[in-house]
Amino acid sequence: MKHRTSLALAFLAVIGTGYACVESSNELISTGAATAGTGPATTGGDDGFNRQAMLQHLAETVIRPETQAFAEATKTLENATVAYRSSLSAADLDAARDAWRNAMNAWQRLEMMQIGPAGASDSVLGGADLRDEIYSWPLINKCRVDQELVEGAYQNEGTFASEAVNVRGLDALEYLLFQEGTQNACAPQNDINAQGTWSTIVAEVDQRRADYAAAVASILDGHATQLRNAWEGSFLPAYVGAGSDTSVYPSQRDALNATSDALFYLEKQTKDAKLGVPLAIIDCGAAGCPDTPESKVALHSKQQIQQNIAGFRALFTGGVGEDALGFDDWLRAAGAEDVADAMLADLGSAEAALLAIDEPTLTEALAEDPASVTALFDALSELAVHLKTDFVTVLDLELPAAVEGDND
Amino acid sequence: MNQERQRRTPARALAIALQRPLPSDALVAFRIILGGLLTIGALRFLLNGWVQRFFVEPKVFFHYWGFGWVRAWSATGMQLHFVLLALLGLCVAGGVFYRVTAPLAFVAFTYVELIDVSGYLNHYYLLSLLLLLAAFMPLHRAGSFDAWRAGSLRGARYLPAWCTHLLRFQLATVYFYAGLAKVNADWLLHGQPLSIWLSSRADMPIVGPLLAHHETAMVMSWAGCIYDLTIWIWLSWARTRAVAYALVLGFHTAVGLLFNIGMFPFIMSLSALIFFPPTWPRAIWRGRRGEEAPSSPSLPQGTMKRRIALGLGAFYVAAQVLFPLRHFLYPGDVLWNEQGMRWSWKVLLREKNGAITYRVRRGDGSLVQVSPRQFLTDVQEREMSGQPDLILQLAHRIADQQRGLTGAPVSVYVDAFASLNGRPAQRLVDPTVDLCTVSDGLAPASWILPAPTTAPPHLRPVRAR
Repeated sequence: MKHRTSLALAFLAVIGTGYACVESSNELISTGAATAGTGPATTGGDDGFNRQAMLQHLAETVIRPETQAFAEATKTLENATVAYRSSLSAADLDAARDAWRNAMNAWQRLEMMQIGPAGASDSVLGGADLRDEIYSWPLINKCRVDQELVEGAYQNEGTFASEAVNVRGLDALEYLLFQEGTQNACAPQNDINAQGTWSTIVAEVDQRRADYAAAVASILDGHATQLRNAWEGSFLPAYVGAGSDTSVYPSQRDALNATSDALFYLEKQTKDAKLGVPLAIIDCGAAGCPDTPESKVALHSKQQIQQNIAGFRALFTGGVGEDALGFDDWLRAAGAEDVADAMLADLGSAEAALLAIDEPTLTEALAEDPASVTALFDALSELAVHLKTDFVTVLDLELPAAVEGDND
Repeated sequence: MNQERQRRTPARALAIALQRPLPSDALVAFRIILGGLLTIGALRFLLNGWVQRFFVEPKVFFHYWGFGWVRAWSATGMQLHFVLLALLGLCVAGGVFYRVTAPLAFVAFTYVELIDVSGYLNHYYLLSLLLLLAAFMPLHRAGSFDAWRAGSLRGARYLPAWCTHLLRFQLATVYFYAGLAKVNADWLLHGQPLSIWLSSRADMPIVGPLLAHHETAMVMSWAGCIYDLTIWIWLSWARTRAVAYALVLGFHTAVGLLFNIGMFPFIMSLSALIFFPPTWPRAIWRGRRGEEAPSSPSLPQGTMKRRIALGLGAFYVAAQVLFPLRHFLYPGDVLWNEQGMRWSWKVLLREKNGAITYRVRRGDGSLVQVSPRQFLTDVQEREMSGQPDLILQLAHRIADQQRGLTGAPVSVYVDAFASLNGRPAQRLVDPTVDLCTVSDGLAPASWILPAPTTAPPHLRPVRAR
């Protein structure tokens, strides 16, 4: 009888376990974590560090202010493009170009922070595809912008918002504001050239570009506002309270993974695509290389890389000041001071290498002093090795997309 | 008297013991569980979109040595293959045309596992082995569609004991070697990689703060090692079996909660029921122990057939005992060089991350870097970056591509760095070796650099909140 009872209990237990367990440990963590406290993060531990405090600091002191700065920059850009549309004056064009540079600088820091709403909806938790809406590089297509210029689709903002992302983001705006002359970027056999429709608008091309730019700037401002509102609104508590608030992140690890995933932009895009490809160091294979340098018309590539690195530093260190909390503090708190020091040293080397590029633009540097650009590439390569090895190992962070499927 | 003694040779005694009839109930339950797990596993792949992600999206697959001829079906073909797997699982569970469907289930599942090495998981390997064993066992003779077709759903009341013993042996092998693999300094002296994994789960409710402490990792490391080394003994002993099975449930539930290991806890927990007496299903459902086996079974006739069966069984057992030990044939740390790592039940033993960049020197002297991303998905790249044989395979693939592009010979070198169990990253592969000159094979790989000699770090606890 005793034997039978124990058998029955054991069997019921395993069946119960089977139903209770879900496939991912993350899901399981989330189920239980709903009971954890949701109050503001407090520093704790012997060294005063805890991970929720880091998330809170990054959200409130680094990412949210960056989204606010970007939203302000796009508002200024919208106003500037409206003014230029009305006047078509050189002064207003210069002002619009300056506004674009400021907006692009702010965005390039946010390129490093594609967490939640900025991320792709099919691969990032909380993703709302805002990144591609705002800036679609490397999928730029200047010919498509010229086609839109002919078709005038930008005149109806409602329908224009549903056009392909690469005709209504910062990249399209760069072409519209900085392209000189009346040439277009399409091949001779393209309809706008073969059928002569481009030639019918040449006389008014400046006005059309200005109108188009104003329409794009307006859409851009809408997306920037949406991103800022998310970080000022419901997304921020979901990020900070990840695991307790399971509306976006089932566990705190998911939010931490999402944040470390964002850091990998520096390796994939800044190092390989923005530097390695124009240096001809990286072979792109059958897929072909992205159109580089990144900013071919405004010649702003060097500054954009600079802002990427600044964004990485902000996210990695939590910014400046004694209260700053970032991944370097987490590494130190965990006892991996050597990893933190090595990564900060590599980051410093990259910043120094960037400063050592004397030429004002990347295009000039590539032509006149490619060794200086290679030095920057090498410094970022060193940083990337630490990022992909010690950093993720010690903190048990998952590499991007590596959480798919099972283990062992 | 002499004749009788002659007949009682050890081999014959073993043969008699293995042929001894045992009540079929537990084996019927095992068959249903095995088929059910196969169906659930296939459905998980279909419903999670993993068929597309793991078998359709990759442009390159890593091949097992000697299995380079295995190719994935088309996208539709792979989807249909998993549908077929789900159906075959149902057929196995129900004993439907079992003599055909059970071998098919083994072949169909193993085919999937052979497509891409980067998808290797120990529990998939175990499922393949269990399906192979089941294909040779007459598990359809009772409680099955086939038995019903033959006239009685109940079918055979007894099945030969070798079925039960072989399954118990298989599971004991998994546990024992998983435990043996844990007898190393990282696991027992430094609590790694458990310390890394547990401390990152400090946000878990109730136990979370405890997990952050190194002492917890040390205790769990020792407990896990002792559990794996001995649990099959306690499961085999009637007096400790119930408690041992409760431990099995607790252990696998905890591991399943902590780590993303999919079906593994279910496979191990449910398969371990085979250690219970053969009448355990009846003990639960009907409240009685059931009759014991006949006391004097007669050996079936057909000596040659029996000898072949015994020989095959002995070969299988020997292979399962020896194969996981093959890493001793290679110098160095198996967790670093990975020679002898697979099919050896080295489960959840390492936290290893790598950074890989290939350098290609073309015939014209120019040097370019090739990122693995050009060929691999993120998941494949992550798996490849710590496994030297896969790094070599991709090097050859890159060489083929570059030769095609340039029409001239190329040399391929790799900057491969890896971090093992929290140690600082160091080079995994000799950067001066042209990997085009290296062939994949079973010999010790001199192009893999020695493992780090430093101890893994003792990380301090970091609070989640």
